[in-house]
Amino acid sequence: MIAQDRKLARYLAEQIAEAGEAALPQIRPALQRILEPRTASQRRSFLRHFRGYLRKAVREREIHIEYADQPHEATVQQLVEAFSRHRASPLRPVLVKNPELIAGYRITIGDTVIDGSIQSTLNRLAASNH
Amino acid sequence: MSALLPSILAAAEATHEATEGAGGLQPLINNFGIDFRLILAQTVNFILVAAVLWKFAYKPVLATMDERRKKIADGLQFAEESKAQLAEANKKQAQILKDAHTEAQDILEATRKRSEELENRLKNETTREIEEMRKRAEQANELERQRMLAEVRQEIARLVVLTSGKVLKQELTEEQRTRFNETAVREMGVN
Repeated sequence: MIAQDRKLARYLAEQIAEAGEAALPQIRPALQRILEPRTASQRRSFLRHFRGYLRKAVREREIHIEYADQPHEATVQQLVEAFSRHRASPLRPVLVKNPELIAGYRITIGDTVIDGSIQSTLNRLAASNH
Repeated sequence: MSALLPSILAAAEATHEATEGAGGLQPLINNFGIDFRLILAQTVNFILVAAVLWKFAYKPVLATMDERRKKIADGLQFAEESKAQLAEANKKQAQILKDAHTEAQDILEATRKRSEELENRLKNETTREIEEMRKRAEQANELERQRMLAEVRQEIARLVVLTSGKVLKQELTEEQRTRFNETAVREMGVN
């Protein structure tokens, strides 16, 4: 796959992740025009990269909040606003219950993990003894 | 002997008187029957025989004797030389034996020294190898001990964390959980 195709796949994936389903009517014909002149293997390669970029773009626009005790809505809002400001892009909250955390929260945005749970504190204590 | 002496003296005296009485040597010659021609002939014969004998018997005998004498002298000289050579050979043999003995002693001494050196070297090497093996074994033991200690520490820590987690899950009050949640939010840089 050439670098230009990669850039194109990344651009389309970011557009979809940015605009959501609203962008689909515009993206679909663009995708068809891109894929038509290509061979089957080239299409597979393009779509594989497109899916990868799309997953990454979506993941980077979501804030996963893991919790042991359901947080208040205000707390979720605070977290979303704070990290949206920090990343200079709006984030969509995804709440995930995880009783193993005991207390506190674990925030995941894309590849970034911020762990403020009791479980992580205990794990750090255990690791410091190694 | 004492009986003969007077008769001889008497005969000599008689002869002296007869000679003086006859007036010269002729009567004496006649009395003794001496014939000068016969003497001359016998002398010539004697000379001839002596010459023949000299020529054909005495000279070859002398030559043979000289030859024998020379051979004997040569033999004696050869014997002397042989004796001297034998003595020299004995001397040389003794010297050779002495040298060989000395050389054998030297070789023996050198061999003994070399064997001692080799023995010492082997002993030192063996000691060094044993020491190295002992050190390696000690290091391996130490490493194993450290590894076991680390594993034990790790296991204890895991158990402590597990137990602490279980205890905290059961023992934390609602208020404590809320306070910890708020603290976590603050520590994440919110507010």
